[in-house]
Amino acid sequence: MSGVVATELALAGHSVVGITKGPYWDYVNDYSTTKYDEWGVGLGRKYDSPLPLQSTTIRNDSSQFALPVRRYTMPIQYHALGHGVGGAAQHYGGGMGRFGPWAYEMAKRTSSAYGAGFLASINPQDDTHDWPLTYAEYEPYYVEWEKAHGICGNYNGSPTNSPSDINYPWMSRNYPLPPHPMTPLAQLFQSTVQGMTAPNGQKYNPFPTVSALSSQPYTNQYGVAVNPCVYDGYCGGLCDYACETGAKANAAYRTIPAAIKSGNFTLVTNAYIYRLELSPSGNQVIAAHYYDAQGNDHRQPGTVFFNGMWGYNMIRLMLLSGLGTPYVYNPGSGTGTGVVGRGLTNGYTPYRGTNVSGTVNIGGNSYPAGNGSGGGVSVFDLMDDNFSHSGISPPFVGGGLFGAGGYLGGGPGNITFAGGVSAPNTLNPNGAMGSAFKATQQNKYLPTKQSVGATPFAPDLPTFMNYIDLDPHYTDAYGDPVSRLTYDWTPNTYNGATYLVTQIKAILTQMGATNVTVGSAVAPYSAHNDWWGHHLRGGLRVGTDLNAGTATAWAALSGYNQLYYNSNTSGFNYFAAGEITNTTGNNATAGTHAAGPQSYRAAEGIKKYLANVGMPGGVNYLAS
Amino acid sequence: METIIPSDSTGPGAKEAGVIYFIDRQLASDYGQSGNMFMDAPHNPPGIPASAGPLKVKPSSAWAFLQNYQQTAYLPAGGGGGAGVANPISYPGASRTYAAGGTNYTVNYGVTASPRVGSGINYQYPLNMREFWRVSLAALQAYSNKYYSGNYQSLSSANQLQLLKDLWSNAPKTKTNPSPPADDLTGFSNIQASDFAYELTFMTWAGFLMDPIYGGNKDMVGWDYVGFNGVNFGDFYGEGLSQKTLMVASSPTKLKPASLAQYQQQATGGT
Amino acid sequence: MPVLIVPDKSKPLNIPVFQSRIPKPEELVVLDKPLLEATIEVGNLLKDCKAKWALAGDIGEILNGVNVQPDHITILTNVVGCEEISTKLKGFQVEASKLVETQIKRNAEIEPKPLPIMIKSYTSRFDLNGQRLNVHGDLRIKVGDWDWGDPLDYEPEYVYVVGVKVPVVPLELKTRLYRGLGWYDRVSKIHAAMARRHHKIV
Repeated sequence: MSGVVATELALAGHSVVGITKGPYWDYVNDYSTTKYDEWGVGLGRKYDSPLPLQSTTIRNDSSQFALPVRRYTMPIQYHALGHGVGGAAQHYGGGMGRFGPWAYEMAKRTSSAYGAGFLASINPQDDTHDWPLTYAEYEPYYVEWEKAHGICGNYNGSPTNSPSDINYPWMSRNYPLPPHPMTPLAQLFQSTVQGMTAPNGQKYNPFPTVSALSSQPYTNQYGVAVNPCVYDGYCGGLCDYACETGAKANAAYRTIPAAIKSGNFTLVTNAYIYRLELSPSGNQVIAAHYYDAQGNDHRQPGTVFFNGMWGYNMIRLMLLSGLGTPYVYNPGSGTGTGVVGRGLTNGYTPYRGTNVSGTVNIGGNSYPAGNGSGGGVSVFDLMDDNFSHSGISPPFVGGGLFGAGGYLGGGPGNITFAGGVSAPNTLNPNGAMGSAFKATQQNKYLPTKQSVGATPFAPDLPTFMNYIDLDPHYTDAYGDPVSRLTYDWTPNTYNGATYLVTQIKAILTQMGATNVTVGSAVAPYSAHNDWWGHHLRGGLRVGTDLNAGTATAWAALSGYNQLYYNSNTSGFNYFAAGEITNTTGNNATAGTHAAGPQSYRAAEGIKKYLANVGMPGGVNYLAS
Repeated sequence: METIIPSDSTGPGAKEAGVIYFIDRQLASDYGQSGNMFMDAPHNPPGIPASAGPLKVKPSSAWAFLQNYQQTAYLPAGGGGGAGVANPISYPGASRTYAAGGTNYTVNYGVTASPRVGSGINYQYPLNMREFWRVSLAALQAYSNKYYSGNYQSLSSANQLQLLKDLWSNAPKTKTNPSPPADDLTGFSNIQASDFAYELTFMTWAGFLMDPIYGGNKDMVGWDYVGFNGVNFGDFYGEGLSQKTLMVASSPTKLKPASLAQYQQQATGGT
Repeated sequence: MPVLIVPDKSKPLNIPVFQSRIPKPEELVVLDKPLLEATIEVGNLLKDCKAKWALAGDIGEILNGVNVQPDHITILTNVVGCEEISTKLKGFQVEASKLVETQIKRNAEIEPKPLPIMIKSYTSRFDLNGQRLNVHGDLRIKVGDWDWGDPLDYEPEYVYVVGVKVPVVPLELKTRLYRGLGWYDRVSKIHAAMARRHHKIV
């Protein structure tokens, strides 16, 4: 996200300094011959944020003592923050997809469709607020983002790949690159649902899953040349590898090269930002302070600042620097005051809850071959308010983007793929030990049939009780408190599952799956120990309610007109991505790049600000 | 390790793969030193039952550096204790009932976070991984002698498996009476046996399935067993296959695996 | 109001740090904006072109990730293509198609001594908002005293430029050409690009 801001401003003639805590990865030399290393890279996370530098603490409830994440390694450790230019997008699976119009006005639309008190009745301590702009107003920024990163897809849901056909969310222009080749399972899914009626009374609208891994050689609007994916399979999935060809879209291979080439951009790497300095009056950010790799102190002044750090690090820096009003939760009243740290939600909830699965007689190669987000097909008909929720029990809002058929080998991890190293259980009485379990692993990468299923969930809604603050007990390597996440699933995620599972069961049956089984419903909070922190969002949202978020739709912190931030953390809600998956669990995450348009908004806002203030210089962008 | 992955009729096991060498090397190197781990105090093990009394912990000295108003803003709910290093913060745990979708759900929150086995917040010991193994292996042997009449290696294979299952279910803890003090980390009372069971099982499978460059998966027998390709993308041995066709196949094609060492050699013009 | 209060750095720093190498501007493959926009316009205007055509020269290479800096656009086509392109780009034409024979600046660097290179083609020129476009139909090459080669032929490969699909001359053909002319510096540039693309030394 920061890459966009830095590049837009550098190309507009402003002098930009970028500061990031990791290195500039030289992907040909750093990754080319070393990345195919599950132990060091996939599990050891040697290319990611080192834990001795900083960690984060997590807990489910505000009454608990939050424990720090002390180690990576198994199960896939999603607290592996990005590190260096490109951030976490160095190693994600490349799932992309827009938020739909509903997501931007969720509170308003839910209220008008289902009554004013509906949200509060289904979401304890509900704190849902709408975005300041509608989808239509954000749409042009999506287009820019997709052009810059080379997103692959067809018009969402249009069977003829044309804008005149129904698609959701609608697009003013198509994705810049065509989708990846489809797998046999995806084709089966597609042809099946094309003949089925969705809950809204129309036929399903399957479309290729949107991917941020370039499918063709590409040049973006900044003139940056991009290599196509070589499908080496060391991609997303459970081990999230970096990409040695640059096909995986992130700042290092899409935007920053143009910024460097412009001559207006200076990059400072291996630099750990620890404070933003305020002016004496306290309402302006005037400098960023950072330590270099040797631990020396540096001060970087600037006119405008853009904070593009990873989610909770961004909040943490604001809190450490005393910016904005910190959020304080009051469990007695079940409400909270303040803004910074408020409204933490999760976009990816693979809890072991209600699920449905079946077996399809399509085999394949699930050793590394393919990539982390291509090959599959998705439908939007079970998400947002694309079907009526009236009378559904238990009640919920939203739904999920469902997809099937991603590449089996698009990023499998060996140990993780084993189903995890688990304790003795009903399926494996000896856990992951002994001859019987060992036999289940034989030729597991050469399946002749697949288990297809989903653990669906509806959106995780913002509440007062999920938030980010500073931890009183643990510090980073330099002695500053680390961030503390207080989070548990909201009932909406579970309540949607019952209904969604029924729909998916019908699809599986129609696909000809055998042994279609529905798991039992799981009560909320009893599976609250499944922590997948990397899809957390929230903590500092944009909105129109000053008390609930910042006021400016330009992604600036209200009260500080020259501090903008990466609103990957400003999503109020995130429509969940339930999935019909193959056994590697390829997912169709949607809305991952709702933050993308935000960065273009920020860039535009900054340009306006600088134009008004009349100073052409000094923009700092702070990456993770 | 042979209990976990035995050599049997289906194929070679941990012994042939040299899993022991993998574990040994890891423990001798950065992994054993907990090089990429967050090792700061305070150390509080997870899973303290909901019935336990409140946990009182002193804030860090860094906390004192924050302005007072920030500190009071961040005090945990129900924590009290006031700002500053001197006053411990209290974590009582909670039992809450939520109404959602017309149903009431009661949840008991223990005083500490409750993680899934193996997740990053499960390991909360002040020991580095090398010490953890040393202490746990000694505890395992002590448990074996006390409850299974001999050293682990002398037990029948059925008992060996059963003993490991005991670790998974934390049986040793319930059998140790009286419990030693909380800072005594010599046995399975204050080290969760299931934590070590997890680590042992995980590292055994890692030794079986990671790249041979790390000492295990000798001659790629592990990869051969599971059908993994390593870095053979379809043409490493001149097979002439491509990723693009392999990824959309509807039936599997087994590839002879290739290792990182072979790949690096080839890439730098060795072959 | 809180100001900068920083705790003592009491912990020894023992954090793994990777060497960072920030690329220099000349190492980055970035196409200039005016030329990029002209290329997109050409791609759009020639979308329904029936004759075989492809972007050639430096522009064809940079769109494939080769580190060169084109200052104009080159299209390689056949005689029929020349006519069709002239029609489609009528408004931008500055020189009608005619047979041109010329010596290019750089010689063939072949042992024992360098030889002049002549090219012959049906050449037409265009100007798109200040960006030059040269279209060559049936391009033939003559090195020194040797015979004229056949018109260059190829099967186009495709790249995408901000959503427009454009044909380019395959890099494999360029590599053969450069080898034949002894321009090994150009060959290594292509190889470097392919190494970045395929993570394997070809």
